[in-house]
Amino acid sequence: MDAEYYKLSAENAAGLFERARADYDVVAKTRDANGNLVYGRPVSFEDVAFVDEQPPMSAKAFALPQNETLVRYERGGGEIRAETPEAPARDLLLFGVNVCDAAAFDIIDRVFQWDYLDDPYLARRERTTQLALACTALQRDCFCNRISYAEDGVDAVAYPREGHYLVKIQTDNGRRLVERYRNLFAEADGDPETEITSFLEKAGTAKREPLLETAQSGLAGAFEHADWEILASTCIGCGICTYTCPTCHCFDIQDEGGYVGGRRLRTWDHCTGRTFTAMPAHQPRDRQYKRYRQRLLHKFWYYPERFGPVLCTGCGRCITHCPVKINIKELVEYFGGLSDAPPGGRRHAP
Amino acid sequence: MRRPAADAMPPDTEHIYEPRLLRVTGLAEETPTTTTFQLAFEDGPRPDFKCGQFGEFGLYGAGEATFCLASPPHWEGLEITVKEVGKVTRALHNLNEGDQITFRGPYGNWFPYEELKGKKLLFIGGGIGQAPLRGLLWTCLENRGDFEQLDLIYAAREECELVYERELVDFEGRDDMGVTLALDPVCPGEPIPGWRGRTSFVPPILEEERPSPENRVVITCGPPIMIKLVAKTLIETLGYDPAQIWTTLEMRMKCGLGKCGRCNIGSTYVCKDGPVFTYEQVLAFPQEF
Repeated sequence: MDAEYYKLSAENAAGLFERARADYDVVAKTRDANGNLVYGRPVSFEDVAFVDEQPPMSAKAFALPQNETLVRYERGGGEIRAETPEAPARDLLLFGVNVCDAAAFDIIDRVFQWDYLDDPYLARRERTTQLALACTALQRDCFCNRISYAEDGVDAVAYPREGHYLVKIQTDNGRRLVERYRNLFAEADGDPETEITSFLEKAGTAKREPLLETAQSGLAGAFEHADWEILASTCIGCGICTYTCPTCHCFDIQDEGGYVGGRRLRTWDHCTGRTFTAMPAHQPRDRQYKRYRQRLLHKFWYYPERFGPVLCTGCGRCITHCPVKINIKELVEYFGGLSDAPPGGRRHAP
Repeated sequence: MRRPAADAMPPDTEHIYEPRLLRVTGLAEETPTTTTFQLAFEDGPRPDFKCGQFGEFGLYGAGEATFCLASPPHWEGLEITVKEVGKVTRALHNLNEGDQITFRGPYGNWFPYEELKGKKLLFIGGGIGQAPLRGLLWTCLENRGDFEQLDLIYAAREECELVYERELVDFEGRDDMGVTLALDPVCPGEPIPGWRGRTSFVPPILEEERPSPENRVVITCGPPIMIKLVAKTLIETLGYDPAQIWTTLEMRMKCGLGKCGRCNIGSTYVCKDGPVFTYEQVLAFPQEF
């Protein structure tokens, strides 16, 4: 669909939140009891945090929970009884989430719906609407300005203006949201696309060359680059980059419980862990740098080769939270041939 | 995009991770640590499958693991051959006849039977790697007239690690296939007392027998090191084109459906694009295997 533009006054934004709570399970940025920023379910508009800062965990768990029951089982009388859990009962509205978190869903949808359809994921995904909030400034570690990821896949993006939001509707799902609360939205005036462009320039989030997508062909020739071992060996395999990542979607299937009863569940897993590919007689990624290399190449070579977009929205969480300060952006630039300078500083001291 | 074939799912299935329950109807001890399970479908008809495909088998409470479908489609039910190496396989080894296990599948691609017709086939199996070849081998024997020649080289570390021993005896007695059995040499050149076959790794057997590449297809599965050395010998010493060698790869898998991100080699999902590949394809992968 062609994009549509609306004005949402600050007052009506509060009205939208209150009314949407009756129709949706509304998730927004808020502070938990300890004052930490999280994606949660604030009960009033005052509790919604309108800040650029990202919660440490992305919003992916609302479509791909960290732990998800696939089957519950019971044994008794020589028989096994198994049942699958109910699909989610309510529509979900991601209200004021970061654009990089909202954009991730459209990217990972592709793996969950190629060939076999991943019913549990898609059941949640089909009931999700995103109203993302554009950042007013680039944060320390993020680099969404270097990735032309499919912002198009985000249902609606709100750009904060003086006393109102300029809302860009990009999908049918976003249009349905506006239609549902039509009296809260006014037609945008002026030239909204130009207004957005200058907003992005000012925020520093406008796209800047060279885009990291262009690293793909360079990476494809750098699989056996000798510096992987030096630059990626600092990885300790803790997996925090993958858990905080909005696009990391690899999972494990495990049973929890015992003989009499329990559940089979899907849990997040991480490719940087040593057991990820370990088999009884064979371990293809037998060194830590190979496991880190897998993560980087999956995001910037394998996934785009297979599905189109890179598996990254530039949120920068993996840089922020890495205990050994591995910087994926610098490594992609280096191995992808976008920069001659080796990633510098103590961050990559071997 | 597609849904799995309707008959691959339980009649009232809710989602793609919901398994069917199969009944264990027979157990055959292959080696002290390896057992073949005969399985029956009781909740509906058995799904159609092809030689080379695999499934996710499991036991509620222990988990799921990936096994190749080790029997040919024309046999009744389904068989898998399981070596006890970890949590799930240990749990499976504790089962008795009549117990139930979970099954999802069949998944993955298969050996291109139609392409193989009219060819001379050389099967090369190593250890438990004979299991993924077994279904195709029996299918070819059932339709022996489709092939110009049929040979099997089967090697294992020790005699007690040869699987399907009763079938090997049957193969040796047939006059429509060639059979070479081999054990790894403990002392090179020294025969192993009481052993009826050869004492050698596979590559020296190939160098000696020199099966010509003309109209021949080699189908091999075994430990990665064996596959590598067999392919090297065939290509470099005997002049085979890598496209004449078919193999089936083992990678750790969880979903089997191209979702969980575990089995990839480069952008190839072994569970979806494989597990059956030509060696030409294997050589084109990022050299991670």
